Amino acid sequence: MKRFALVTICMVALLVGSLATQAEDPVTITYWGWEYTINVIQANMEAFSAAHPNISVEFVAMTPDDLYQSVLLAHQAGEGAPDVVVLETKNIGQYVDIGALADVTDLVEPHVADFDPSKLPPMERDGKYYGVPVDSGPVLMFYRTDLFQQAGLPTDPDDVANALKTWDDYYAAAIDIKEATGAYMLAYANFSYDQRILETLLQQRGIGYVDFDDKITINSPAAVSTLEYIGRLVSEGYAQNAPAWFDEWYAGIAGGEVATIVSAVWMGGFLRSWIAPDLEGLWRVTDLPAWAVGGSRTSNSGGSNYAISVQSEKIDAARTFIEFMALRPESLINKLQAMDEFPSLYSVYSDPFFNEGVAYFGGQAYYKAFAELVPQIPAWRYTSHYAEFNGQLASEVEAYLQGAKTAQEALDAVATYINTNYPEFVLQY
Amino acid sequence: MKALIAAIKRHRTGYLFISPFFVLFGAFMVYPLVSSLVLSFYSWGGGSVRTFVGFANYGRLFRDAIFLKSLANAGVLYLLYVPLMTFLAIVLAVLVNSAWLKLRSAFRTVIYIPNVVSLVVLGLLFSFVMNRSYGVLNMLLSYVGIGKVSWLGDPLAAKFAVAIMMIWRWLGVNMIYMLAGLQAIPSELYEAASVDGAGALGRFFRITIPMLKPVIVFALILSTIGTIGMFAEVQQLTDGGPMNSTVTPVLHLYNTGFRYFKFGYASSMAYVIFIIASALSIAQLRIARRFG
Repeated sequence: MKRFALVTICMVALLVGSLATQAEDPVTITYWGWEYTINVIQANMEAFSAAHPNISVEFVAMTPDDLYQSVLLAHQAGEGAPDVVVLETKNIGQYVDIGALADVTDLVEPHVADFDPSKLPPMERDGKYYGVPVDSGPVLMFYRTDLFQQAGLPTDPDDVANALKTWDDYYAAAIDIKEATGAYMLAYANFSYDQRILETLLQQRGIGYVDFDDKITINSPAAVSTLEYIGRLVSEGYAQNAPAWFDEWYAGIAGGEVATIVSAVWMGGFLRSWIAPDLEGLWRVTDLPAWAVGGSRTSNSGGSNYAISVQSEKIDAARTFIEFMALRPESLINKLQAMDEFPSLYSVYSDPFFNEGVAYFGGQAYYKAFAELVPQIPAWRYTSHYAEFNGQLASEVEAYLQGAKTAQEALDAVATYINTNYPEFVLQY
Repeated sequence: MKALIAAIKRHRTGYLFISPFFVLFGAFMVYPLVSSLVLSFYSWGGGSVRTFVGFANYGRLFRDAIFLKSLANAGVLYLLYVPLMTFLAIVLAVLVNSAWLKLRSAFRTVIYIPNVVSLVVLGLLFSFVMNRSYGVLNMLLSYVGIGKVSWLGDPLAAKFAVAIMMIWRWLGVNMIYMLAGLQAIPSELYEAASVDGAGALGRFFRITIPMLKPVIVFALILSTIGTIGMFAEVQQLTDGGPMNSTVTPVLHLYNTGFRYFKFGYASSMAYVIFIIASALSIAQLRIARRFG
């Protein structure tokens, strides 16, 4: 009898105990991303922990290459995938296609009209969304006021935008700057380079590898003329032959060997924190020159998105986390302030922070300059084969820039490759 | 069959002891090998859809310009570094084996150390050494009056860059092979040769090298397989560039599978690479035997 009572009491205690803890189940979600994305999230973790004390986050940092591998392998293995993962816009299509990402349409739908429109197509299939846009990479021209001044060019951003209205004006300025200061106008390598700037300029003209009607556009006359423009800059000696993100390239920027950088908003954070902190006050940003008067004066480079793995068993906590970090205006402003992660959500641009001057840029309202141009970003079709197309483009353009073929031949080769391997994309030129 | 089972039962402890190896071997070698062969007949993008395509993947390989280029690159690279490296290995082995050498183990260690470095570190290291403006190699060349070479930017120079990296890396282990081979040469042969009036060079070319033939063939075959299988160091150094001048078969295989998500096609590539490497190895053995 005694033993029976003891057992019953234990069982009741266990039952009551488990009921009590079910109210606030502590949950840990895993997040995989590269360090930059984790750093910007950390700016909000205090607020997040206060608002959701039962959710803790385990951050795993890895390089983008490792990340893409690991997510793929985890998905194929059927286990080990993170709850939340960050994926660049150019890569997310691949993961949606293999069914690795969970449907998050209800998170995205209320804000569809409010997102930078170029962000959503890659993560959408049949009306459903599989990722939440986080940041965009609107592109402007970074320029050195001191080098411009030495060459007799204006230095105020608005004046420069008026003086360099088209890429022909940019070319003329390159000549002046070379003569007056000896500096290159920009860095453009003919090797080991993924041709980011070429893609940026093509996007500015609304040209992609293929268009939204499955027609191949990479070898269109406009694309060829864009490549030939870059070819002239390179062959005439106005471009520093240093591949991006390598020693020479960094040294060129920090050492004043290049007068402009065609890059996205996140470059500002990189410049002032580790690439060229000593050049504070000497850089400004202004609109990109246009291809034709009245054309778009910006483009996009980069941008990331949060997604949830289909394997996740903590979908609610993951959704809460993503909503907090990507859809909550205060979080987005914090990330912007921390490391220039530029939000894709328009409604955030009305925050007074955007009007603040940034010391590194001599007091220019740096973020406002980008925000104003975001609506002009032309849409661009990545497809889920971007990595492959980019690989082909890189080696063909290398051949062109090193004089082994003409621009037309190089781009035709890329077009042929696309059509041969993916006949659903049709040759047009 | 009954006798077989009885025999196994009799020695079951023995079999039990060696079974862990076979279990691991089966799981990590046999299963992937078979699985990959099966996969090579399908088209699979990494998701849940797998389509049977028969021999289509294999046919595609013959039209794959980059794959064919990678085979050619492997051939050129082989010719660029293997003969020189093997010869240097023999010379070094003879020197290290010399009676008059002091600090023999120090020399052996120093020459062997590059072999211990991880391949990724190797590629990274040489990307610094070969940097056009800030690299050590161009600095040294400038001392002898040679201008800056764009080691990683010029298609031909890049092949030499890879060759230099491979020699630096594999000279040590090849020297060890040759050293081992030298121990097997009876010293009476050298004594007889000196008595007959052969000088050092004569002894080297008439005795050492012929007697080392089995080891040389062994080293050449390993170098063949190693060249075809070159991947991590090349990916780090040039990522196949510029203009695919340093793409190796396995690097292209990696890109096809893990960057472009074409796993069925990549599997067929893996098997063809395996067949080519095997054929070349067998061919080398046959040729060596013929020249007895």
